[in-house]
Amino acid sequence: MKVPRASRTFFVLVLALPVIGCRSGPIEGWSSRTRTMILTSGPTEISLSSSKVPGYWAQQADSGQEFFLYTRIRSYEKGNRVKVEGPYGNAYPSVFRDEAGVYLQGYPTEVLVVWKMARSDVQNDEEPLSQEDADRAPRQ
Amino acid sequence: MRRVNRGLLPTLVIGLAFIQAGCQSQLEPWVPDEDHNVTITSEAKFVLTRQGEYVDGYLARFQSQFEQQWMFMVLEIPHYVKGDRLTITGRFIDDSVRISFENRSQEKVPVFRVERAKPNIPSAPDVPALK
Repeated sequence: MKVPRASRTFFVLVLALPVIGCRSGPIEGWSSRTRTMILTSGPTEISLSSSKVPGYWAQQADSGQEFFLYTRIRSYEKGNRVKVEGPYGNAYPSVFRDEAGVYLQGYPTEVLVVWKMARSDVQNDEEPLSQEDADRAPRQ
Repeated sequence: MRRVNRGLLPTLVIGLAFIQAGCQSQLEPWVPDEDHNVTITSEAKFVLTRQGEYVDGYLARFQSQFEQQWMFMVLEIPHYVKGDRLTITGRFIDDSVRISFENRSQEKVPVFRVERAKPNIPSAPDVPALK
């Protein structure tokens, strides 16, 4: 049975699309949106693939979702309200939770790579980051 | 002959793939996790194991089968201090470190890879009040 060439191409394309869809996955957390966070720790670190990653534990102000903010800046303190910008994704690092003194390997964590970070004592999330106050973490 | 080849070839390819996967496997045999109550007896150390791996961790003492034993507990973030009492979950791996402790010279201590650790705070015994 001969299948016309056009039909064959169409059939292959239809089959290929779901495969591409499965392999690519969502573009997770790629956003330049400014997020307001409340730091729940002082400067600390986690370990990702045996590499130490400095930063802070934080809770997103509106949703309460927990993040690890990857930054080399160490001038903030627990309880500070900050605005951050940068992409984020899910990871399974080894962590030490200071508040409970607990060490966990492979702890599911949202890691946000900080591009911009600034103090935010105002409640309005829409206010842009002021360039003077914004600390820039090196992009890697 | 051709028909035989058709049936044989996929089987052969699959067989070879399995053999290759078996040879290249980096997986360690599955060992169940163990819990131990330990006391940390050293500051954080960065040591070279017998297998040639550099690891962070602590020397720790624990009781097993009514005997005092030692382990080198490996953690990626060593934030505990000497004297801390912990309940740790993990497993002994086929590795050891040579460490001198308690006036003993260079002793071989098994390596325990920690997956979870939490403070071990013994609860006070529940003594009924006197009437």
